Amino acid sequence: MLNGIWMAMIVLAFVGAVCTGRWTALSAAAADGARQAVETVLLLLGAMCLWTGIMRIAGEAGLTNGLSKILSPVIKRLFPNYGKNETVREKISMNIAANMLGMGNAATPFGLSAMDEMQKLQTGDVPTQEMILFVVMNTASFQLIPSAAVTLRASYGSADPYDVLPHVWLVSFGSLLVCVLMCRVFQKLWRA
Amino acid sequence: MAGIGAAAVCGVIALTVMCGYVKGLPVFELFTKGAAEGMHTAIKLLPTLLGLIVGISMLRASGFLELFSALLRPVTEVLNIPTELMPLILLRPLSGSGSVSYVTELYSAYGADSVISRLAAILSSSTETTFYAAAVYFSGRGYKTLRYTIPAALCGDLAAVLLTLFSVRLFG
Repeated sequence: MLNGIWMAMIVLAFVGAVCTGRWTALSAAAADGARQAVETVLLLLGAMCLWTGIMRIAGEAGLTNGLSKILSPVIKRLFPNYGKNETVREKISMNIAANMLGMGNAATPFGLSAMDEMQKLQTGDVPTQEMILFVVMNTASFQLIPSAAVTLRASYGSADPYDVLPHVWLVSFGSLLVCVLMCRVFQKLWRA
Repeated sequence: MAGIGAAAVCGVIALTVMCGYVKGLPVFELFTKGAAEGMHTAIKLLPTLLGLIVGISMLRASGFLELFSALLRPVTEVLNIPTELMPLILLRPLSGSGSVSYVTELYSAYGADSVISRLAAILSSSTETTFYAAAVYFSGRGYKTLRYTIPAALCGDLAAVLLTLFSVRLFG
């Protein structure tokens, strides 16, 4: 899948440049993208080390266990094959909690370790339904406090930067539901 | 309330370290062990992310998204989607920093409280950078196919666009 998407991006960029004539900008963008990727990975590297470190302490202290007990009814329903495994359940709960609290930097490290654990349990060259559901849920991400958007609106002189919050709750929860639903539909229809 | 995310981060770190220490755990040793694990996962992401971010960056610079939005105008008119929102709708699943900069452009052009800016704010904070997330979560795992990951995720993004328009039209 990524082969096709990547090829399409690059070919479409070329087609775009044929129409707009922005060749200099396009070649600069290739180099700039590479630099940006290194910056992104360095940022993620810092966050990743920080949060997997903290998670290790929380795990040994029994804190993640408590959180996963609270969320376990939901997790067992959504991820039936992994829900019984305590390590996976703990890591998924940390990811969900971090997403909801708007701790974007922490949600990815927790999510990646959850994926590591799920992959350990089931090897193969195709991701399981639950792994796909987990990733799709993370591409939707339900946020209670979209702090970045609120801060940005406030800095541009919004009279009430919080007034979008109910809309954000409705939209992000709704799209999360659609994601879960579509995964259910696709897992029945998809071949290979 | 904007500080809640930041407060949660500080609170979680402080609480965890304190609890661990009170329980007599070697907190610093545990931290460094955990951090070392995280390092391997993060480093493995570079090749995937580099390829993807180069592709997205090229796509943005080429002007393709503007051309494509213009091409989609008949569809957007039927759905009553404001023209100014189209580039954001196309950009949001691809690039987080790109959509933030487009949202800022809308804020300075129309004011933060205009309908178009509110739509942009709601849409951009209700969804994630779909392709980036899918690439990060699946990279380095050696899967031949991601099966229906991208189609299902894009259905969610489309639902977010429609729900944003619906919610603002209905509740103001």
